[in-house]
Amino acid sequence: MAEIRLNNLVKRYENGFQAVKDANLEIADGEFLVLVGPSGCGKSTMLRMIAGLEEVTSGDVFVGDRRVNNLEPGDRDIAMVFQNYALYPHMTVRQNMSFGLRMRKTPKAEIEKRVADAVQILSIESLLDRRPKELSGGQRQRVAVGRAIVRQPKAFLFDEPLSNLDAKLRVQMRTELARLHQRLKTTTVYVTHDQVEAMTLGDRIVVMKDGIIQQVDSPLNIYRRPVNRFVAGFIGSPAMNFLEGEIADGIFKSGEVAYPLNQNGLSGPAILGFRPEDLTTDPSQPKILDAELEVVEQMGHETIVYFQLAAQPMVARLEGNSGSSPGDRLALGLPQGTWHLFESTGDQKRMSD
Amino acid sequence: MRGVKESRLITLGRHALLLLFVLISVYPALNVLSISLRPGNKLRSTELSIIPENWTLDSYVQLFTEQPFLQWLGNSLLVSLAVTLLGVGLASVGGYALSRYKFVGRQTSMLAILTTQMFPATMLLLPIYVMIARLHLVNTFLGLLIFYTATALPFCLWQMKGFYDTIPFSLEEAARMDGCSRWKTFLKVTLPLAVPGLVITALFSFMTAWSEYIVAAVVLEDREMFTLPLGLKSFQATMSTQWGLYAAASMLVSIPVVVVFMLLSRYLVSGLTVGGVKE
Repeated sequence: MAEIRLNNLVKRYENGFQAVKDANLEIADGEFLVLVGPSGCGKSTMLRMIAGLEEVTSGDVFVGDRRVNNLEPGDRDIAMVFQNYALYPHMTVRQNMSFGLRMRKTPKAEIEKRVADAVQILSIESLLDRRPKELSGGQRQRVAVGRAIVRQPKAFLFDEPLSNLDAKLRVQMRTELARLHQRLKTTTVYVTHDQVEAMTLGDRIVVMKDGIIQQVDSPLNIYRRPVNRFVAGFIGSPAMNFLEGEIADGIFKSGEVAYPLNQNGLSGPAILGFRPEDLTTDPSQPKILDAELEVVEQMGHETIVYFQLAAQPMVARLEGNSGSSPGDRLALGLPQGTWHLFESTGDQKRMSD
Repeated sequence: MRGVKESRLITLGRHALLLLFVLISVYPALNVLSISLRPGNKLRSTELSIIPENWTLDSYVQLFTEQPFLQWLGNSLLVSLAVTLLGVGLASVGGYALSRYKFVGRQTSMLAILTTQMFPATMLLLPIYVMIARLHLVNTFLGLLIFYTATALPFCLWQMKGFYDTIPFSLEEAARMDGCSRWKTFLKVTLPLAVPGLVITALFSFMTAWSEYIVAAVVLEDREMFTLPLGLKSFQATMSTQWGLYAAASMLVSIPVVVVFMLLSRYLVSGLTVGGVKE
């Protein structure tokens, strides 16, 4: 186990494209860190640079106290789980899992013990003598994880490991990975584009966009205090609503919307962000808008309603079964303290506290 | 499986056509078998049966006792196996380089390799003969080996490159994470998965050398150096042709090839990489 440090990490491809721009990151020993962002944001490239599968253009990668920039992937003492599992098709599960140890000339008894421990943790004892093609997707995933844990490496790297599983299995494997991490406490870097995985698995989340780290924080802090509009829109489902407008005399105005802000010192053009789940029909809360419902989705425990405001699609998530139907007009309130304000220009940084 | 049942007439027509093609391809071989079993030296016969009434194995016996058939067989095996080893060895690493590494001139060299396949072997005959003569390799197996390998390799390279392209790169990355060097990754992961490709390549190399005539006729001069195709042709003299021997030898030359094909046919249908990754 070890901490991982990235100092001014840059990846530039030969065609000039910069996949990772000056990334600095410290991953604590035993931490579960999730790299999240839309495709092409550089998260996988960053992971592969830590693994050693991608050359570092400039900057440093440290695993523990060791600068590993020029070490072969196999010498970095890191294990990786690939998106497509990458199990060796010509080997049995047992051979797949022990391959890395055999390459390191680990004593035979030790290999057997570690494989036995791993299959027990993952409950795949019965699969040991099968080949990958005889396994289901979930079983292959487990073997891929098993291959990583038998190595007892300093860190685990996961590259979108659940994206090939069906929805139900994905949820199941997600909780299993969380349990595994609690048990092994190995430093983990996990790449995903799925924000639910990011929120549920990570001790901290790194949100990336266009090769730049946008925000590094705990899941809840990222949810509550996104540093810019991109992060605000990326984390949370359904995504945050945004309304462009102007602040004057402490009131945010946009078309028919006039919302009083309980925070001083804000003025000028701004974007108001509010989460669908923060909108409420509770009349005691300050009213923000009247919605004419277009689509109503009854989920049982909640109702998701879609409407338009200033020709922009908006979503609200209301508790319980609201009984509304399309065409209804609904007065929606927004409690103070739940809204976010972003600059309307440049990086659209957070303006509010 | 079939949704629509076709009319009986079409089925009959289909089978008649197929039978016709089978006949066309099998008849010559059966005819050769028939000639090889006839007593004496008869090319034509009024008989219709495939196995003649007074059939005999004389031609076969004569082949082994009075003719240097075994010598030729040995020569052919030596040359063909050497070509196979050299061809597969070079194509397995060369194809890998073309498939996995990006280097300057990769595209150009691949095209150049392909272009060499456009020239008929007869056109290359003269220049390569001159080269082999200058190297004092006329009438040597080494000369033949160089010639054969040079003509078989382009195809083998493309074949292997194409096969490596189908093996997911992430398997090699996994092996490198598991502590393999590049070379070890190639030996432990890539090469075992490329076995079907290697088999096809080997088969092609072997066949190229086993059945080649023109080049061998130019390079080899002494009768005891002959490969099987040359030896066969030597039964066909200007004045009289020993049809019985010719036919018997033809049968014996074909058998190994047929056997090898049958043994290796399962590799021709590849499917070894199934299940390792999910795309």
